[in-house]
Amino acid sequence: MGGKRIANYLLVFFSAVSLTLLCLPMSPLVQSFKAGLSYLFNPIPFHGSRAAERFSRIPSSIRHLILADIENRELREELKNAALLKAEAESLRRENERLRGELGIKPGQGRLLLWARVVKRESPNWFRFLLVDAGEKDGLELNAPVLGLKGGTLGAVGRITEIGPRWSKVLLLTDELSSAAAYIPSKQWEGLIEGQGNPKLRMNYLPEEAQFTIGEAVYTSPTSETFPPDILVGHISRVFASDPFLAFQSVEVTPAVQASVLKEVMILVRQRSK
Amino acid sequence: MRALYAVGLFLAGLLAHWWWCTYLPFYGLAPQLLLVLTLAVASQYGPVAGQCYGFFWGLFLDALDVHLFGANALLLTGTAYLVGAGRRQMDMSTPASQAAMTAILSLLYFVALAGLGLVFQRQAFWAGWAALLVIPVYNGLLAPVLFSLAERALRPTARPW
Repeated sequence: MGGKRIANYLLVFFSAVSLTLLCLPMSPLVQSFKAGLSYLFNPIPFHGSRAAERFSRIPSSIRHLILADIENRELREELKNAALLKAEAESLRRENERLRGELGIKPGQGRLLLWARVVKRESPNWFRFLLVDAGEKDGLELNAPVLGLKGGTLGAVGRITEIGPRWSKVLLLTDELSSAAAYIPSKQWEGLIEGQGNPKLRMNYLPEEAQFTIGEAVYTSPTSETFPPDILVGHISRVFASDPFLAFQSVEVTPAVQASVLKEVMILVRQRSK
Repeated sequence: MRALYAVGLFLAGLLAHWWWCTYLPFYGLAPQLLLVLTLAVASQYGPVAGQCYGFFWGLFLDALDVHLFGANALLLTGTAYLVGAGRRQMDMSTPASQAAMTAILSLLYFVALAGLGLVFQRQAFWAGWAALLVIPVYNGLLAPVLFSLAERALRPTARPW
């Protein structure tokens, strides 16, 4: 009988706490509570992934060592070429800056590249968020753009929405609450890319007269607040039927990089002025 | 000692859930280990133990999520209470009944989560048909194993809580 009474009290107490958290998500108390919980629980994925990586690094046989050596040599060769490419890019950047200066265009913001490992993703929320092992201590800021590289294709993935000392949460473009300005370079049509909570994206606010080709590439727009311009978002996979009550068209976009298969992501960090 | 076993099961559950979701997903789908473990604890050790585990495991899920902070804690607590309080009326002693009950409750869990999403954020956070249909089956298949593991892990704590 006593156990039943305790169970009832517990139900009331836990439900009251949960409902308070649900009802007041933005209140300072709930935010502090959430931050405290994150500090408490986030070491699990963080140190867990470190340990998993350490175990996976142990070579299982000599063959692995030989393959690693071959790969190492190949990469060294590629690095030599990369130095040349870097010099070329630097020269182009300087030329770009000079031309921008002559045209009176404000110079773009410098950004540094930071790689971070994906340490957590949640099964039913596969297309919504990721947890990565870089945070405040690495110089990350809220809304920093997150990109992914898969099979040589660089694509927009999402943005940072929560930061801890050594971890951050990435809200994926495919989340319902995500959106980013994007454009179709072939016709210069601009629209808004929005997540749908599934693997596909939706691009809204395209002109009524626009004609689309399936497979056309969609890039981040220079007007995007979060992403640098001309980062590949995806390709048009479907054109939605026009709604007579709306003054714009919509298309479905298949992301260029599926965030669900990424092991690492690239985060662009604002370069601090010296 | 009793507390050590309890904390051990709690941490093991967190680690197992994180590890499976991150490294062993099957086409992006992984079982809800913490839901199944909550059911296991509640059905074998009563609503008090079930609710304690469910609430704190739920907070772990909520802390790592970006939406609906508190939803998993509320639902796991509620599920643990229902299963724990009604365990004398339900047969959860055989693997088949454990699997069936887990699958049904997983399905209801999805629906309840979508309902909370609609109420608190005006979004159902629809996870897709694949998740809705496959994860309950996945949970159901794992249920007998996890029920047995939870029972063994908490057995040294002797009497039901």
